[in-house]
Amino acid sequence: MRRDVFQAIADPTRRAIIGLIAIQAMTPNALAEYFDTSRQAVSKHLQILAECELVSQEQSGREIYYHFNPDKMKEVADFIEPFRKMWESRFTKLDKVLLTIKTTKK
Amino acid sequence: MSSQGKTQVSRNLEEKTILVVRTFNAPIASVWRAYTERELLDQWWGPEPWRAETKYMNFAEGGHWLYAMIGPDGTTHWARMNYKKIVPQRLIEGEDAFCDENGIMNTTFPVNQWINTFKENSGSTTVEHKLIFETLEGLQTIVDMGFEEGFSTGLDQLDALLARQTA
Repeated sequence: MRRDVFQAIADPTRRAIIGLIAIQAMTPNALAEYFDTSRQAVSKHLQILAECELVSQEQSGREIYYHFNPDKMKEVADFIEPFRKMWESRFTKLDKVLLTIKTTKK
Repeated sequence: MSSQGKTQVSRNLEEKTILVVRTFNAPIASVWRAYTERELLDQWWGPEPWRAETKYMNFAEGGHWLYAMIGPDGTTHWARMNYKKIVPQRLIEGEDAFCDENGIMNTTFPVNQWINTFKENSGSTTVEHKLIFETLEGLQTIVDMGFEEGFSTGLDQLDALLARQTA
């Protein structure tokens, strides 16, 4: 199942996790020390973040380190810009269409 | 200074809407025709490099517009707009949805509601497109996180992103 990335980052704990691992890659155990929840709960949050590619895992010996994926976050944040471009592209064509409507009327 | 020719996009996070505003250097009668006649819509509705091709259109309350978005490599996405409320040269209210070539709506994608309002101001016409999205709550979160500043990504990525949000 694919995750809704917006749902994933709507959760305050998951945002805090992103904030921590954005500074440096961390293991689930190290992360759990920052939160008043179980290691299992932290792992569950990490799993959700990984499913929508906001974090990635890297095995180092016996430990798994979690990294932040800033490209993915930018992609989400830039939702508006391609949207605006799409409409502008339409309207540029529409400007031309409107010229033809005016000329055929005359 | 006139805002003519500029596409303004703003978000209303409380309403979960995006407002797209554009002013055209044409009388309202022409703009209305461009939004409501299939031959004209086909000439502009597809954002580059896509083109729109109408298969069926019944512009009336309860009617719909069935069209294909065709990419340069022939990729085709079918979509339909359902017209719910029409006030001539004033307002069109409806919803859009993905569908198949027969117009059967694809229920795995969300249906987006929209309201377009038309206003004439001494020869030019302003159209406001209010789009009601389901994911804007999430957008607020991103803004809070300070990632709003961005770079431009392609329409393909928007497609992919929207598809992922709805999966």
